Amino acid sequence: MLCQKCNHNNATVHFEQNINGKITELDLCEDCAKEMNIGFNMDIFPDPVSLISNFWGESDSLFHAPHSSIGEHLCPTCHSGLSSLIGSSFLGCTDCYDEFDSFVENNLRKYQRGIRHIGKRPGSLGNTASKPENRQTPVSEADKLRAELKKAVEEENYEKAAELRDKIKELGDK
Amino acid sequence: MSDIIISTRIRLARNLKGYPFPNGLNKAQSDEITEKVRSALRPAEKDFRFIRLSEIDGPTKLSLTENHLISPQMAESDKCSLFLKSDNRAEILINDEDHIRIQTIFPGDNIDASYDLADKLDDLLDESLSFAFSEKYGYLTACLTNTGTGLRASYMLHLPMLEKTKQIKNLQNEIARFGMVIRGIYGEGSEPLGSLYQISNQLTLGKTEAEITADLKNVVNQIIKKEKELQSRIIKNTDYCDLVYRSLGILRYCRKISSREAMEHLSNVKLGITSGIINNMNDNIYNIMVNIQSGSIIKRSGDMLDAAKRDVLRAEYINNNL
Repeated sequence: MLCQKCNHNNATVHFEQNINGKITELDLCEDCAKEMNIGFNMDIFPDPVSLISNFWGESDSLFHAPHSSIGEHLCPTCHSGLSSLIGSSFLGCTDCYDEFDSFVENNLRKYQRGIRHIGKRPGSLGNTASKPENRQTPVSEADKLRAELKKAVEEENYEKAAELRDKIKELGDK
Repeated sequence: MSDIIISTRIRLARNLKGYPFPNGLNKAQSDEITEKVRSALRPAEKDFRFIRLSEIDGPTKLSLTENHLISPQMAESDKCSLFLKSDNRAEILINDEDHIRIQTIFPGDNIDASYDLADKLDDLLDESLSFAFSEKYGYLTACLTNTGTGLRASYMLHLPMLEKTKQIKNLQNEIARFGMVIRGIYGEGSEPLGSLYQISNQLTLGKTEAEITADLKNVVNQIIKKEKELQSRIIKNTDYCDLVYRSLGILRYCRKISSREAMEHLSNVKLGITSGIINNMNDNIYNIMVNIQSGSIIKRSGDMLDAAKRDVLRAEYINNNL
């Protein structure tokens, strides 16, 4: 992600401001963040993570924490910062899903088909999808595409319709 | 159809609440997770053997890797362990990329049986473990490419004719449009050994487990149909008959052979059997392919052999088992 101010450097600092419930979010490079006085003054304070690690020797949770930039929002559980996640599809812990929800959602849109889970659930939450009666009648890819095709035709989007028709044909369900 | 489908495999990724993903775990946390899984698996413990990867020797690790029971990365880690079912059809991997990965592998065309067994093991673990799950995103995994169902379903296929007619690349592009991927099993890059390919789903979120396996099955059936069609055209083709029998001759009478050369000839012989060029032979080719990999040879001999000695033992094994 590019810095939203200079549009040139990679954004490594995530800034959130909440004024009377109005949340402003900015992703900045370190130079622009410095210019706007966001985060620590990096010339005066050394990286707090390295300071504590040096003091305690090898502290496990800090030693293994993914890198983060000073001043950026960190996941409280694993200390990952957004800068360490950008460009990767890996998260530090399950809490990162909540901490970096918009990053997660954007990436899931990129990697996955939908962003809503409709499959199996843990038993304690009422597992439904794995039950045999729910597994007997799956909606096939072809059925989904047919529904999309119908919609495309209704919307007179013939280019998309032709593309969908070809996909259905290739799936072998004519 | 079973002659083209070598095996079917299911993998479910699960993580426990309250711990970093394995990459950020310390030793104490990884031991704690291992113990939690061990006690959750207690009702089925007689069926499973516990293997701590830091405690086994190199050849055994190599052989587990070659049998696709562990990943090469896992073999290097000191946090990983696994519970392996006595018939090798299921395993529970601990602290690989995710805290828990349930894997099942069945020979032949058995994707439903593979899923059912993985599902049962998941239910068993779910009874006493608290899996990280979100109403919105489903099962939370270390990598966003597994989020949701955490399900990777795959088929291992032998596709010699699609390979020889240079159609794998096209296939790759075609199935990518449906959120599926094809890759070689042995060897690297564009030159997979033995014409063995794995086809699996890439999408794990926004579809049910049943949809994922049904769509994969559908695509695999199309691929098999194409491969069969190509194979049916070569039975009376002199060039192909020569290729197949030449390979059979080399494998029966060679006295030393490299892994690469052996895989090529074994694939040709397998093509001969499935296409009908060779009539009276059992198709145990895939087993031979697994057993002639370096790790398996070293493990059988109990000695760290150099490449030249492995080539001799490889030839001997093939002479005796083909």
